[in-house]
Amino acid sequence: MSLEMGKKAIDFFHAHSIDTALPYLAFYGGEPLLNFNMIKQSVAYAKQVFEWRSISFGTTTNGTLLTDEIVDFLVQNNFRLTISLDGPQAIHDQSRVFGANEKGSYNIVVKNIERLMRRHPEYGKKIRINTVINPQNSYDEINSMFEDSKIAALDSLHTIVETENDDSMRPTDTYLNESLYNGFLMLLHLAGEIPEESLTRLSKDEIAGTKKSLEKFERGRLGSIAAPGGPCIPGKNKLFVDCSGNFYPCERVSEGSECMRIGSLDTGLDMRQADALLNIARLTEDQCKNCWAFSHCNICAKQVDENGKLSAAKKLEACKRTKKVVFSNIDTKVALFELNRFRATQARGQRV
Amino acid sequence: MKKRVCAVPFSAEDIPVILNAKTLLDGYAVHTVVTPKGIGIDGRDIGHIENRAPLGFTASSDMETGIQQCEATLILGRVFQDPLYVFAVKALEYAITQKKIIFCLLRLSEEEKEKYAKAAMEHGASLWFARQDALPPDVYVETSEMLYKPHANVVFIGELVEKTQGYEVFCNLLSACKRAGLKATGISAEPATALFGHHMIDLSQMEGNPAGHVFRVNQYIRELEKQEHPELILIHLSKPMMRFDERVLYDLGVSAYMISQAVTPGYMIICSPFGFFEDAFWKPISESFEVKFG
Repeated sequence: MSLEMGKKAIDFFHAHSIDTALPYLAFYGGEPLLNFNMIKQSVAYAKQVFEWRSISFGTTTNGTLLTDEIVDFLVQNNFRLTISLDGPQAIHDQSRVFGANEKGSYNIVVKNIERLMRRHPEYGKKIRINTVINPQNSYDEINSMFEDSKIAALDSLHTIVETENDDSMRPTDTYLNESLYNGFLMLLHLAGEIPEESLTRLSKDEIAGTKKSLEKFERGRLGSIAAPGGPCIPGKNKLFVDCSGNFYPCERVSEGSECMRIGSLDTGLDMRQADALLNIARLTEDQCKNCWAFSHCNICAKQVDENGKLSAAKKLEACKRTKKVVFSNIDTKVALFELNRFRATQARGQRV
Repeated sequence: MKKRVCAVPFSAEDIPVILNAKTLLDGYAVHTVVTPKGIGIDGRDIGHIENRAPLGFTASSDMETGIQQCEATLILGRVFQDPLYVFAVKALEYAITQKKIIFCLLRLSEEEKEKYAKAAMEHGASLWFARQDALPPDVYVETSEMLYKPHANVVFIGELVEKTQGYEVFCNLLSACKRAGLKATGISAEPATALFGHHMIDLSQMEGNPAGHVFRVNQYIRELEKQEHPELILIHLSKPMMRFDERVLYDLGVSAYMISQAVTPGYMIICSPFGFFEDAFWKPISESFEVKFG
């Protein structure tokens, strides 16, 4: 992105965030640090435009370009720094390779993290690693990267690589068995049977999300007007601007997709398009109204994008996957209930 | 002729103060509203900050000119963590050097207040600070004492969730009472309440045992009524009146409940987010509030 475009985006953000208490500006790529000068100048400009407001910054990087100069800048501006690390060297280097020589980047990334932590120990505690899990690998092997105490000290999150329509990414039996076993251990932990320390790091990172899913069962009844959850309010939570100044709801959607475009710096927000992304339930209105998992739905517009168009068929495919997850949450909820009942009856010295 | 006031540094929560100063601050009227450019309303009507219709005040980012143009400066109530706090301190220091009449709602320590009072005296400026009322000391060992029932009508103005403009409703009511010739006494934790000649006290700040707190609030109201003989007592509850959900708990409505035990409201105004109009939503809340708050 050119600096001019960046400045234009910052001006738009400023003009449309008067009621935002904590404005946040983040840089994504490709690899955003390849254009470090632009980031530096954009941050200076944003600080000037947002004077006397608590603007904060962030970036997600592959971690290969973290020189002392860049790190010092990130620290000075208190960047929320997320570094991609997909597992131990053997796994990380499967997909994270330098274009020039096809060599894996693991060693350089870890060295950079170590140097950063030596140079700025306090800041180092705040950085986060993001792991994109390829379920063709072993769950336990991916988790073994946390055996390195320096990596274990960092905050972490993970997502599973999208497997839909891509057989080369389907989970292997090994992955499934190991992840299911770890899921079982997490269940025991949630039931209070085993301490958190007994869990793998990947499982620990899932505790909050699992609890949140289970909390959905505690909600009261629906009102007479309701919509399934899932989509964010496009442009409200986040507004992603690409190099040409087009708007998208976030950095995760496809920039090549027509239906994901919600306006541009020149034309402003396209409210009709944003409305379409917010209300994807309209695609399958009848099915949604009669769906038992209505209030547990978490399908976002990204999942129903088919060649640049919002697709009802794609939505129904996503529905099937979502219902499976909700069903598994019901399993967990019931299992937890039964485990608690078992313990209560045991405590009373009764037979189950 | 009312004295002109420069209000600085403005942000959305100051709207009730700006709008009601004309009625509630005798002898003064807000003339200039100053806020840094970064806030995003420079040269625009202040209503823009909340996407409202124009409110009749144009924001300026020129602090020095704003202060120079007016006889009085109103330093708005920023807390230390607020990014505008330092801007407010700068404005205060500048107003002192310009020998202005200064109303300061800024949350300063006693040492800082002393420092600025001294500086104001040296420069020939007049400096007024918002001072908190205090509850009577905790002397209620016996809880058998009868609770005092005020003669005046008591109205609670509370919020269902934060930022639903309860303080603006409170200030608007004080203004309406004044215009109607009704003698009202207002109580709120917001510093501007003291500026408007009412009582700045946070009744939700509970110390000591709960029953003792109820009696102290009750005695405070008794003393207030004895001294001021109001026809109406308006109490702005500083914390929402119930939890929002499992995560956003506020104080579970405990402080509002405690205050209602000290002084039972005859009426209650509940500010809620726009759009909750169904009976199915309001009926249970209305019933539970009637039981809880009397």
